[in-house]
Amino acid sequence: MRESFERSVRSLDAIVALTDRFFEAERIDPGHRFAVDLAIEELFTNLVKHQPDGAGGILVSLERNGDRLTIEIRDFDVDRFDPTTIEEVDVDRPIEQIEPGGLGLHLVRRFMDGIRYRYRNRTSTITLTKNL
Amino acid sequence: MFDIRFGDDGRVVLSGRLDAAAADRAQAFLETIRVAAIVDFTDLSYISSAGLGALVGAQKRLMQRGSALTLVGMNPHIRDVFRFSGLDRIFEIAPADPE
Repeated sequence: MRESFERSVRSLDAIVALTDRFFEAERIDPGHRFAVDLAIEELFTNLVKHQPDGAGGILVSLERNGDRLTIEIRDFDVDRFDPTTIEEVDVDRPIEQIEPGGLGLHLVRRFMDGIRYRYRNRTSTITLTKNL
Repeated sequence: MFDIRFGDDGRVVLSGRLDAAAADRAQAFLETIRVAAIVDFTDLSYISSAGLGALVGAQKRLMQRGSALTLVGMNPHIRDVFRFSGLDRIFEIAPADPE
Protein backbone atom coordinates (compact mmCIF):
# COMPACT_ATOMS: atom_id res chain seq x y z
CA MET A 1 0.00 0.00 0.00
CA ARG A 2 1.49 3.37 -0.94
CA GLU A 3 0.62 7.03 -1.17
CA SER A 4 2.38 10.31 -1.85
CA PHE A 5 2.05 13.09 0.73
CA GLU A 6 2.52 16.84 0.65
CA ARG A 7 5.82 17.92 2.24
CA SER A 8 4.23 19.30 5.42
CA VAL A 9 3.43 18.23 8.97
CA ARG A 10 -0.19 18.81 7.94
CA SER A 11 0.13 15.48 6.09
CA LEU A 12 0.48 13.50 9.31
CA ASP A 13 -3.26 12.85 9.72
CA ALA A 14 -3.45 11.47 6.18
CA ILE A 15 -0.40 9.26 6.84
CA VAL A 16 -2.13 7.90 9.95
CA ALA A 17 -5.20 7.18 7.80
CA LEU A 18 -3.04 5.24 5.31
CA THR A 19 -1.53 3.22 8.17
CA ASP A 20 -5.05 2.55 9.53
CA ARG A 21 -6.09 1.06 6.19
CA PHE A 22 -2.89 -0.98 5.93
CA PHE A 23 -3.16 -2.46 9.44
CA GLU A 24 -6.79 -3.33 8.84
CA ALA A 25 -6.20 -4.88 5.42
CA GLU A 26 -3.24 -6.94 6.65
CA ARG A 27 -4.84 -7.72 10.03
CA ILE A 28 -1.72 -6.65 11.90
CA ASP A 29 -1.72 -6.67 15.71
CA PRO A 30 -2.59 -3.08 16.81
CA GLY A 31 0.10 -3.47 19.47
CA HIS A 32 2.66 -2.66 16.72
CA ARG A 33 0.86 0.48 15.69
CA PHE A 34 2.51 2.97 18.04
CA ALA A 35 6.01 2.01 16.87
CA VAL A 36 5.06 2.24 13.20
CA ASP A 37 3.34 5.62 13.58
CA LEU A 38 6.29 7.01 15.50
CA ALA A 39 8.90 5.76 13.02
CA ILE A 40 7.05 7.15 10.00
CA GLU A 41 6.38 10.50 11.65
CA GLU A 42 9.96 11.01 12.81
CA LEU A 43 11.46 10.25 9.40
CA PHE A 44 8.79 12.08 7.41
CA THR A 45 9.11 15.25 9.52
CA ASN A 46 12.91 14.99 9.20
CA LEU A 47 12.49 15.24 5.42
CA VAL A 48 10.01 18.11 5.75
CA LYS A 49 12.58 19.94 7.87
CA HIS A 50 15.84 19.07 6.13
CA GLN A 51 14.73 18.70 2.49
CA PRO A 52 12.33 21.61 1.95
CA ASP A 53 13.19 21.86 -1.76
CA GLY A 54 12.42 18.28 -2.76
CA ALA A 55 10.36 17.77 -5.90
CA GLY A 56 6.71 17.06 -5.24
CA GLY A 57 5.48 14.83 -2.49
CA ILE A 58 7.10 12.21 -0.27
CA LEU A 59 6.14 8.64 -1.05
CA VAL A 60 5.29 6.35 1.90
CA SER A 61 4.95 2.60 1.23
CA LEU A 62 3.91 -0.14 3.63
CA GLU A 63 4.34 -3.81 2.87
CA ARG A 64 3.96 -7.03 4.81
CA ASN A 65 5.95 -10.17 4.06
CA GLY A 66 4.95 -12.85 6.54
CA ASP A 67 6.18 -11.77 9.94
CA ARG A 68 8.05 -8.76 8.64
CA LEU A 69 6.69 -5.28 8.04
CA THR A 70 8.65 -3.03 5.67
CA ILE A 71 8.15 0.73 5.51
CA GLU A 72 9.75 2.72 2.72
CA ILE A 73 9.92 6.52 2.65
CA ARG A 74 11.09 7.90 -0.68
CA ASP A 75 11.99 11.49 -1.52
CA PHE A 76 12.68 12.60 -5.10
CA ASP A 77 15.16 15.09 -6.57
CA VAL A 78 16.87 15.87 -3.26
CA ASP A 79 20.43 16.16 -1.97
CA ARG A 80 21.81 13.27 0.02
CA PHE A 81 20.52 13.24 3.60
CA ASP A 82 21.28 10.03 5.41
CA PRO A 83 19.50 9.94 8.78
CA THR A 84 21.23 6.69 9.73
CA THR A 85 24.53 8.58 10.12
CA ILE A 86 23.11 10.96 12.72
CA GLU A 87 25.04 10.42 15.91
CA GLU A 88 23.33 8.56 18.74
CA VAL A 89 22.12 10.86 21.51
CA ASP A 90 23.43 10.37 25.01
CA VAL A 91 20.23 9.74 26.96
CA ASP A 92 22.10 10.15 30.23
CA ARG A 93 23.13 13.75 29.54
CA PRO A 94 22.12 16.50 31.99
CA ILE A 95 18.80 18.28 31.43
CA GLU A 96 20.52 21.50 30.26
CA GLN A 97 21.95 19.59 27.28
CA ILE A 98 18.74 17.84 26.26
CA GLU A 99 17.62 18.95 22.82
CA PRO A 100 14.56 16.94 21.80
CA GLY A 101 15.42 17.40 18.11
CA GLY A 102 17.99 14.63 18.35
CA LEU A 103 15.62 12.20 20.01
CA GLY A 104 13.53 11.30 16.97
CA LEU A 105 15.96 8.99 15.24
CA HIS A 106 17.05 7.54 18.55
CA LEU A 107 13.43 6.50 19.18
CA VAL A 108 13.11 5.08 15.65
CA ARG A 109 16.16 2.89 16.30
CA ARG A 110 14.63 1.67 19.56
CA PHE A 111 11.17 0.92 18.18
CA MET A 112 12.19 -0.57 14.81
CA ASP A 113 14.29 -3.66 14.03
CA GLY A 114 16.15 -2.24 11.04
CA ILE A 115 16.86 1.03 9.25
CA ARG A 116 18.64 1.38 5.90
CA TYR A 117 19.37 4.33 3.62
CA ARG A 118 19.91 4.35 -0.15
CA TYR A 119 20.67 7.34 -2.41
CA ARG A 120 20.50 6.92 -6.15
CA ASN A 121 19.68 9.32 -9.03
CA ARG A 122 18.95 12.08 -6.50
CA THR A 123 16.32 9.90 -4.84
CA SER A 124 16.57 9.21 -1.11
CA THR A 125 15.05 5.98 0.15
CA ILE A 126 14.78 5.13 3.83
CA THR A 127 13.72 1.55 4.54
CA LEU A 128 12.53 0.47 7.98
CA THR A 129 11.78 -3.05 9.05
CA LYS A 130 9.74 -4.28 12.00
CA ASN A 131 9.41 -7.91 13.03
CA LEU A 132 5.80 -8.74 13.80
CA MET B 1 -7.17 15.17 17.09
CA PHE B 2 -5.12 16.66 19.93
CA ASP B 3 -6.42 18.68 22.84
CA ILE B 4 -4.81 20.32 25.86
CA ARG B 5 -6.80 22.06 28.58
CA PHE B 6 -7.06 22.57 32.33
CA GLY B 7 -9.28 19.98 34.01
CA ASP B 8 -11.70 20.81 36.82
CA ASP B 9 -9.08 19.81 39.39
CA GLY B 10 -6.44 22.11 37.88
CA ARG B 11 -4.56 19.33 36.14
CA VAL B 12 -3.33 19.82 32.60
CA VAL B 13 -5.31 17.27 30.59
CA LEU B 14 -3.90 15.94 27.31
CA SER B 15 -5.95 13.92 24.83
CA GLY B 16 -5.55 12.48 21.34
CA ARG B 17 -2.25 12.48 19.47
CA LEU B 18 0.60 14.84 20.38
CA ASP B 19 2.50 14.79 17.08
CA ALA B 20 4.57 17.35 15.17
CA ALA B 21 1.41 19.05 13.88
CA ALA B 22 0.12 19.55 17.45
CA ALA B 23 3.40 20.35 19.23
CA ASP B 24 3.23 24.13 18.75
CA ARG B 25 -0.21 24.25 20.36
CA ALA B 26 1.00 22.14 23.30
CA GLN B 27 4.05 24.34 23.70
CA ALA B 28 2.02 27.56 23.66
CA PHE B 29 -0.29 26.18 26.36
CA LEU B 30 2.54 24.82 28.53
CA GLU B 31 4.35 28.17 28.36
CA THR B 32 1.48 29.68 30.37
CA ILE B 33 2.20 27.39 33.34
CA ARG B 34 4.16 29.17 36.07
CA VAL B 35 3.93 26.73 39.00
CA ALA B 36 4.19 23.00 39.62
CA ALA B 37 1.44 21.10 37.82
CA ILE B 38 0.17 17.59 37.17
CA VAL B 39 -0.14 16.63 33.51
CA ASP B 40 -2.72 13.92 32.91
CA PHE B 41 -1.83 11.56 30.03
CA THR B 42 -4.77 9.18 30.54
CA ASP B 43 -6.49 10.14 27.28
CA LEU B 44 -3.31 10.71 25.26
CA SER B 45 -2.79 7.83 22.84
CA TYR B 46 0.42 8.93 21.10
CA ILE B 47 3.44 11.20 21.42
CA SER B 48 6.44 11.80 19.15
CA SER B 49 9.73 13.64 19.71
CA ALA B 50 8.05 16.93 18.75
CA GLY B 51 5.59 16.48 21.61
CA LEU B 52 8.43 15.57 23.96
CA GLY B 53 10.08 18.85 22.99
CA ALA B 54 7.12 20.88 24.22
CA LEU B 55 7.15 19.09 27.58
CA VAL B 56 10.93 19.26 28.00
CA GLY B 57 10.89 23.01 27.31
CA ALA B 58 8.29 23.56 30.01
CA GLN B 59 10.11 21.30 32.46
CA LYS B 60 13.44 23.08 31.96
CA ARG B 61 11.81 26.46 32.58
CA LEU B 62 9.93 25.27 35.68
CA MET B 63 12.95 23.50 37.17
CA GLN B 64 14.92 26.75 36.98
CA ARG B 65 12.20 28.19 39.25
CA GLY B 66 12.36 25.25 41.64
CA SER B 67 9.12 23.59 40.51
CA ALA B 68 8.24 20.89 38.00
CA LEU B 69 5.61 19.01 36.04
CA THR B 70 4.46 15.59 37.28
CA LEU B 71 3.21 13.28 34.53
CA VAL B 72 0.45 10.78 35.32
CA GLY B 73 -1.56 8.08 33.57
CA MET B 74 0.72 7.22 30.62
CA ASN B 75 -0.07 4.22 28.44
CA PRO B 76 2.78 1.66 28.18
CA HIS B 77 3.91 2.88 24.72
CA ILE B 78 4.26 6.47 25.89
CA ARG B 79 6.02 5.22 29.02
CA ASP B 80 8.51 3.45 26.71
CA VAL B 81 9.10 6.70 24.80
CA PHE B 82 10.07 8.46 28.03
CA ARG B 83 12.23 5.53 29.16
CA PHE B 84 14.02 5.08 25.82
CA SER B 85 14.77 8.79 25.58
CA GLY B 86 16.03 9.05 29.16
CA LEU B 87 13.39 11.65 29.96
CA ASP B 88 12.09 9.58 32.84
CA ARG B 89 15.09 11.02 34.72
CA ILE B 90 13.85 14.60 34.49
CA PHE B 91 10.13 14.02 35.02
CA GLU B 92 8.37 12.43 37.95
CA ILE B 93 6.10 9.84 36.32
CA ALA B 94 3.24 8.37 38.34
CA PRO B 95 0.23 6.12 37.77
CA ALA B 96 -3.12 7.65 36.83
CA ASP B 97 -3.99 8.85 40.31
CA PRO B 98 -0.96 9.64 42.49
CA GLU B 99 -3.12 10.85 45.40
